[in-house]
Amino acid sequence: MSKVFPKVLERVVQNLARLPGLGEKSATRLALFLLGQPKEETQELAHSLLELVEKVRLCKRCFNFAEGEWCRFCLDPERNKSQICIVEDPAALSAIEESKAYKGLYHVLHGLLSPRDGLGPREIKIEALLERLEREPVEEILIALSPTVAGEATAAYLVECLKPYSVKVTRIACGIPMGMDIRYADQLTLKRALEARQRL
Amino acid sequence: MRLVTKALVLNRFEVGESDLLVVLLSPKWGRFAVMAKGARRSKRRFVNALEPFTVFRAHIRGNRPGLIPFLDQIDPLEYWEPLRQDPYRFVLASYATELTEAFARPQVGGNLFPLLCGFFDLLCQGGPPDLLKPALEIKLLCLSGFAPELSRCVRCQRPRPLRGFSLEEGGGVCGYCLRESDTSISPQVLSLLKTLEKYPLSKLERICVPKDRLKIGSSLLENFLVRILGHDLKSLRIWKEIKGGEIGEQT
Repeated sequence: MSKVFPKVLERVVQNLARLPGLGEKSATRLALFLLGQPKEETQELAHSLLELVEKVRLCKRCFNFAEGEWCRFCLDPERNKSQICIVEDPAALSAIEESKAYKGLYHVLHGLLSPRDGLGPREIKIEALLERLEREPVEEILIALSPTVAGEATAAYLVECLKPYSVKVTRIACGIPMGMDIRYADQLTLKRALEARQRL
Repeated sequence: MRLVTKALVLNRFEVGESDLLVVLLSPKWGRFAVMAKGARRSKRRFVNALEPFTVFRAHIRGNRPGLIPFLDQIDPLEYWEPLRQDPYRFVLASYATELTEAFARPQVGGNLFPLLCGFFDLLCQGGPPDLLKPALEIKLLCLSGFAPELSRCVRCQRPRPLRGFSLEEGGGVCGYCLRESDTSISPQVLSLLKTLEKYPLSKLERICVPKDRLKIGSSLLENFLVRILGHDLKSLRIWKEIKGGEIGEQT
């Protein structure tokens, strides 16, 4: 890095360069941009980052991000408490929420089974889910994990774990995306789509 | 220059915002790495197939010395679908992949491709995982040049009856040469290891082995593998955890 910059600026560049997708050049560009911004805007950014680390934590019940002990979905009395949707991470929860098609509660695993990365059943929040089932009046578990190899294996593991509980276990459908030409679908997707066909 | 080869994924690493560095195993070139540009965003070129447990035809561009070639396109050929749907077999198949990657040196190891494919085939057909795992381990050792010496004493080189196994020296040890640091093994366990080495994977289900003997042989091989590699295998720990009774379906 150029040594013409003051040490404070160098420190900002070094810290920004640690963010994913940012190299030293991009980090320098961002740091110089921040310096050129009105002081209040840069201070607001700094304050929001401080608040992020101080206030945001995991919801005690579903492990979604929350500002207090509980997340907004667990606190919402309008949500259907008999349904729990299992998602991989808060980003997947956000995608499902944006669809506006689901009104139940969530459970965030914070990972998928990935033996190569050392992630087994103990490393993701499966035990906490089973504890929830012991104390909450849940009727349906909806597994909304991506249809990747790890997602499918995790879903299969969850199905095994949920067998002793008297809950209905469902999984989001897998098939041809809306607007896609069927000729370009791969054989595995087509096979799944045919298997999950619906009566009209 | 364009090259086409059959391959499967051994490992993948995220690079930047949208690229993947993919470690492939092919019968032609063994283990090699390719860069799949835009693979994390592409919905057409690599959908579904750039994952473990899939064989595809890889279209590779550029092979300049010192530069990683690019993966242009893949045509899926075969999916081992049951490995996605059974967590127990998924973890074991992941272990097999990690082990194969560890033993296949760069640009070498094409002979490991049919072994790994055969292992996946048998896992999908419901083959006995407890036998398939040590058999794969010992066959990988043999194909990579680390075959344990099981016919004579690794210390005195005499064909005496073996009473122990030296992890350091990589073979059986006779009663005269046995040291405290060696692992004691019975002639039955030794015979099991020889059988696993000799028998093709597809014929393993014909073998009937007592569970305790299999456990000892398997544990010995695991320790030997870790000793050779010099590091633990992450998926082996997960396999032991998941096998430890958390799932009912076990062979």
